[in-house]
Amino acid sequence: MHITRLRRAARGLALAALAAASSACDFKVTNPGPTLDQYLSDSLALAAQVAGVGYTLSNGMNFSVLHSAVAARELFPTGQSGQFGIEPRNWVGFLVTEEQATPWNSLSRARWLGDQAIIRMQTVLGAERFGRHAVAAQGLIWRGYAYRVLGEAMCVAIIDNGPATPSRDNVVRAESTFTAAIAVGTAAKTPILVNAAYAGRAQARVLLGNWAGATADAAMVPSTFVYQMPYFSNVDEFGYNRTMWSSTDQSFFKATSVWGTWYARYFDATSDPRVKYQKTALTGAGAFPPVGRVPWWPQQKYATRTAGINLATGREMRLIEAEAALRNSDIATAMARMDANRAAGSLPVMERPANLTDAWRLLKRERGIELWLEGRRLGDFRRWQADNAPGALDALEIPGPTSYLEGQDLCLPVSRDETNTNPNLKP
Amino acid sequence: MRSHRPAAVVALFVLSLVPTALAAVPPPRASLTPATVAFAPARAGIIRGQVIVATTKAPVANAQVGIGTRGATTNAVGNFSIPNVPAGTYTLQVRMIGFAPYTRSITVTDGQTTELTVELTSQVTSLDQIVVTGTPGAARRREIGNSISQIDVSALPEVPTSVDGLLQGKTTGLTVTANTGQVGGGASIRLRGNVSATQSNQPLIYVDGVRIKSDGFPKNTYPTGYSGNSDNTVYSPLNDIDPNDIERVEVIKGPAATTLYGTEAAAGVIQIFTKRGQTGGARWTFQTDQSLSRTPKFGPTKGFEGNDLVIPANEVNPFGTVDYLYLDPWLGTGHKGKYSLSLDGGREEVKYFISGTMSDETGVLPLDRSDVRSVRGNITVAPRKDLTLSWNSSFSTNEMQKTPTGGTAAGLTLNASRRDRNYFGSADPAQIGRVLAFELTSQVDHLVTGGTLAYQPNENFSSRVIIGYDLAMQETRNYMPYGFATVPLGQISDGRYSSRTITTDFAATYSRPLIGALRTNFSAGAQSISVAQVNVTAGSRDFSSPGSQTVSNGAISLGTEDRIRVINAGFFFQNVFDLANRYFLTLGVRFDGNSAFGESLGLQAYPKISGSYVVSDESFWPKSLGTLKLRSAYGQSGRAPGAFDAVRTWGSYSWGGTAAFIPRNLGNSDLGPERTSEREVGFESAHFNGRLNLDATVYNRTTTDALFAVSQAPSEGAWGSQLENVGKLSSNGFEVGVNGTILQRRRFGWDAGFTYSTNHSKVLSLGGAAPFSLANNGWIVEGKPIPNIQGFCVGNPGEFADPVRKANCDHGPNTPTRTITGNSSFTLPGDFGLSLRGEYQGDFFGYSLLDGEAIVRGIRWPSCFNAYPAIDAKQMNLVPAEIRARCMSSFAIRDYAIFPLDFFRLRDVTLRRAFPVRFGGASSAVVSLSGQNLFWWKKAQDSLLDPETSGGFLTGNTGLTQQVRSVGGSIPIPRTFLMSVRLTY
Repeated sequence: MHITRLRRAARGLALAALAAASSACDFKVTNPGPTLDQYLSDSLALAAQVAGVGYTLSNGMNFSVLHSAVAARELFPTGQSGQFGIEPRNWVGFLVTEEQATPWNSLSRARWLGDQAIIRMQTVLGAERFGRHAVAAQGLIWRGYAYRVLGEAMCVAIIDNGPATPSRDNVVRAESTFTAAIAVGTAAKTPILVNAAYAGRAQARVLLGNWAGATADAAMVPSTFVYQMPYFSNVDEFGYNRTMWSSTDQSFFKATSVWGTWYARYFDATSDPRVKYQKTALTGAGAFPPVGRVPWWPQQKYATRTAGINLATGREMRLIEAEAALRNSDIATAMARMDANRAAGSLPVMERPANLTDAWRLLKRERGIELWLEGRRLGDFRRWQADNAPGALDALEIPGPTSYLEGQDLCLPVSRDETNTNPNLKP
Repeated sequence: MRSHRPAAVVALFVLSLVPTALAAVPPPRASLTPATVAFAPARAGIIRGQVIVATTKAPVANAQVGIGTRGATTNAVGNFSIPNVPAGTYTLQVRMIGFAPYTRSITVTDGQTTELTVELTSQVTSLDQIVVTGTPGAARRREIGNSISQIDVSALPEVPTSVDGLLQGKTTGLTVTANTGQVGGGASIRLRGNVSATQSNQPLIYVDGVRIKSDGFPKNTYPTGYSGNSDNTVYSPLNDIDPNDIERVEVIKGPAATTLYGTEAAAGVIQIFTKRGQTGGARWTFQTDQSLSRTPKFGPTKGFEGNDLVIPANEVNPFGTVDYLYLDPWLGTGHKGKYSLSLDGGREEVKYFISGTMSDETGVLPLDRSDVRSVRGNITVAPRKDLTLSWNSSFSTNEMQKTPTGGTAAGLTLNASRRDRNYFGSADPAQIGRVLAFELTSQVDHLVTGGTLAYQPNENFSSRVIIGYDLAMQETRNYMPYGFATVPLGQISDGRYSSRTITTDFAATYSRPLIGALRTNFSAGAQSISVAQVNVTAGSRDFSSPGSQTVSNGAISLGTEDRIRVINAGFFFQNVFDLANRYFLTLGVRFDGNSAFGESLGLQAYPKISGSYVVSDESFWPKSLGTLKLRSAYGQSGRAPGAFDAVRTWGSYSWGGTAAFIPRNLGNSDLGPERTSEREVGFESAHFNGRLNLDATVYNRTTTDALFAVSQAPSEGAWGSQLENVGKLSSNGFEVGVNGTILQRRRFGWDAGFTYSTNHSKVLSLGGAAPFSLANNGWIVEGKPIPNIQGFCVGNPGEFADPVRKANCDHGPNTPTRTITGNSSFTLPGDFGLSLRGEYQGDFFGYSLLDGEAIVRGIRWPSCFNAYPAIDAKQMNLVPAEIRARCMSSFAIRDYAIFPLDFFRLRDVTLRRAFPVRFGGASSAVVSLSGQNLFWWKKAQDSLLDPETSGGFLTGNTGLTQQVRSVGGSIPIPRTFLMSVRLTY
């Protein structure tokens, strides 16, 4: 009896072991989905890495352009916040850490991705192939502009979790990257990228105060040259031109308006197509408390969600030459450069300045018009303030000087994500 | 919307029911007693009687009455009948959960009817009650050292209308949050609060031993862009189970009890047992529930300053009232009509149960509807005395449509509440109602099938194998037609989701005496759970013309695909030492692995130890004191990270027709499961002949190697956050449940009970990581609850000055720290029964999306109506800083919309009567009139909506598994008036 019981128990345990064995086999799981890091070292994957730098930069620019446009009163807030909106402190001119995460995060990511892409391409392609590879040239261009945008728009520079240093450090890296891009682009026979590199380096040298170098680079770029950050419709909404998409009846947000800005009055008077906008009888979503519901006059510079944002143009190069001339008190050359730009756009010549200071006023206005909604205005304000550049700015808002602005930050802050994680920023 | 139901699923279900259908044919009567048939004509009598409660004389329905291999189940009025009983003397046994077992001798005379009345004595927590959840096989309650709750559905005085509602407030430590007042939504379930800061806190769900999907289905949303443009509810797999099909539910709350379930069971296990066939003749049951729903008033009754709300004349809206947040034009009366029919019966060798349900429901919002069809069947076959095979299958299909609500410009709630400052610039319902062209439809098909083979060759050895298959599928369509208000050219998406879970479970127990009164029960087993999920969504936008209704019609198309397969497998050993049937010591260990850690599974060991001591079985214990069991348990369990969390991966995005790599997951090859250890001590007792039952538990649990989302610096690539095993969490609490009979009179009785549960959690260590946000103002901060609600607050609230913004202000925990439930049931003259049940959840906080998003936009918000006259008149000396912060958008930030979420709800009031009937073949009827959620109270009377709702910005599966509870744009849970009629044939 006891033996029978033991035999049954043994049979049961054998069954248990069988079940355990059957359930313990075939545990290999292959999950398709995200790309494993190892596959990025395939030479065929390099172009996608470079595209990743561009995509991330376009995302960061989308936010930095829009947010700085409102702080600089290139656009007026309608009171819409949250999704595709502008945050309340931004409405009145402040760019504060708790409301500004995406510009810093995306632009920092673009910079880091640019660094990593270059390192990986140098490893995969080898130094010689890298030096003449069109994909490498494109990677250098995106990386250079990432550094330039960071250097111009951000208050400080932080590299790889390091300490905060002056934003100039980003510009220095932009300059050296564009220098490399000129070499690689030339070897790769990509003239558009070479022009983009010269134009980018000219911008960087302006920010560094190297006017001789900036002028020399600008001279390499024809007036008709335009290099844009592209935007697309066959992607999610974050890939659209955000300045356009956040203020369109189509998307229902109507977050910004040209109403209330100096540009509205200027366009009414001149019909200058560079600052074109449309008057409507509608109001924006939400409400901007001092005004209530804000008339919705959408900008028309970007007519579609796929409109590219200028990274550099030949016309900007002419303005660099004009500013360099003014810094040498050469009013005639400066006006000639500005008039040449206007002539190309079938616009009448500018009024003649009474003196050098007045010429500076016209240059500041002209840069504001030429670079409208390209994320450059606050950088100009900051640069001119640092240089004590002569010449007054036009009132930013129609009712009067800064009537709705409670203050005006001139650069974008480090995000809270960075301050929370970077040991060098902890008190 | 019935397009995606694969024929294979239906075929599989039909095949699985074949044995059930065959079993539904009543067996030949002669086969009951083959020996008698062979040698002599049948000489038989009938046993007929009624089972009642000894004290109140109230009838007891669904009691099991048996003599040998024959038996019957009592009907709604407690009556039973056992025909064809050969003459002789028998031992009659009556069993019913909640009552002491009853045994008596009875003599049957040839051709006669033997009538009797059985009086049962209450015994809510019988120590010999059998439980199976958390144990290798069936175990008596006296053996178990951990807390375990059983909900016996047949004993409930109310009419359960959903599984979520069935669980709500029924046991200690269990919190069920409804999440939405719309039809088709699912509830979040928490056992003893949150156990993890980053992983799912939803318990595992088993049905008849088969693991089913336990988290929510993906939201119905467009594949990219703002996820709020979506169905504002998340569907729960529990919605697919008809509560009428449930016999009982067992709940084990944490690692002290769930060790044998391994790596995924730290948040507890809920096991549902469906009804099975009972010995006796075929019994038909028909039930219809008809209910009406209305939304209660939910607008603020006080201003932010705390005074009763006065509505200025210039704020009066001709189209709606503050009471309903201007949604009045769209709030109607919902209706649900449900019809179910079941058949059960059998004999000792073959028992069967089959049921079908049809339900059509419309909600209080104009587009809300849910049409459910479901069937369920099971068969239990015992071909030999030592072998039992049971097979269960169920299939349900639910077609739904939802009204767009929540935090979306295309939704009703947001636009109506903002009046003329909405996205239409108009409070006119004709304008706002344009959002109703937004079609949010979905269909869920759910198949669960599985079988159990139990082999028990002798009383010392038992074993069982369970094999189960759960297939949950959802199709979602999100359609804004051409000409739609917010997307003029239109857009559409179609999502197909499936989740397949395969359960393989083997366990065996060998029992033998060791020395003297010492016995040992040794168990071993192995389990494997394989889950494969596929989520494919296609979307397109910019239609060329009206009438476009498929993804093919859009000019710009997008698609996404996610596939994840996870295997969790392991084995266990357990030994129970049983001394004199009153001292029990259980030692066990489970070795468990998960495919997230590679092919080796990264086996982890989870030990357990528990003991119980039945003090009342001691000779020194006076019988007059009743029964007492002391228990204590310690156990470990875990939670595994996601399939891709351990490796560095890149996402590939389309950028202008080319692929672009973006960082997705930083990767951490050292990643392991988080491990939760739980200790609990408690007792169960019954006194005064079962009239007073107590159950109390103190628990303490610690999670080590807690998976924290450690943020990475944007300047190093903006990888977002990476899971790391760096944290340490703890929680503790006290749970007490009391049930008692207060009055026992003939024809009148009063039973009452309450539960009191506390849960206090704390982050013990961040392991050097920075505090991190889980969204919606929920933060993981050292020394604070899991999660802690914090954010900016006004530093000078009472000053008549502009507000000073103060950072990192603590509000408090986000999960209830106190939950109190109470119930009473009365037996009234005339065989009426009246029951009431209420629940309070308190001392927790959350962000209110609708308030927060409005106040930062300068919307004229009802909670500010008392303050606007002074603000508009620029009499700022009358407006303190706190009011300026909340009512003036120049100062407002979202963080100022954090409110206490404390609430009370009268969950159920039911009046019922059971009576014998004689029409259409029916033998008894139960008629119930119920009111659900008739009364509610919320602490934040200056805030809007319902603290028990959520949603709004939720995406993916986070609806039910969300770590941070916030109040979204869902409408409140409606009041429901229900009439139910159940006929038994």
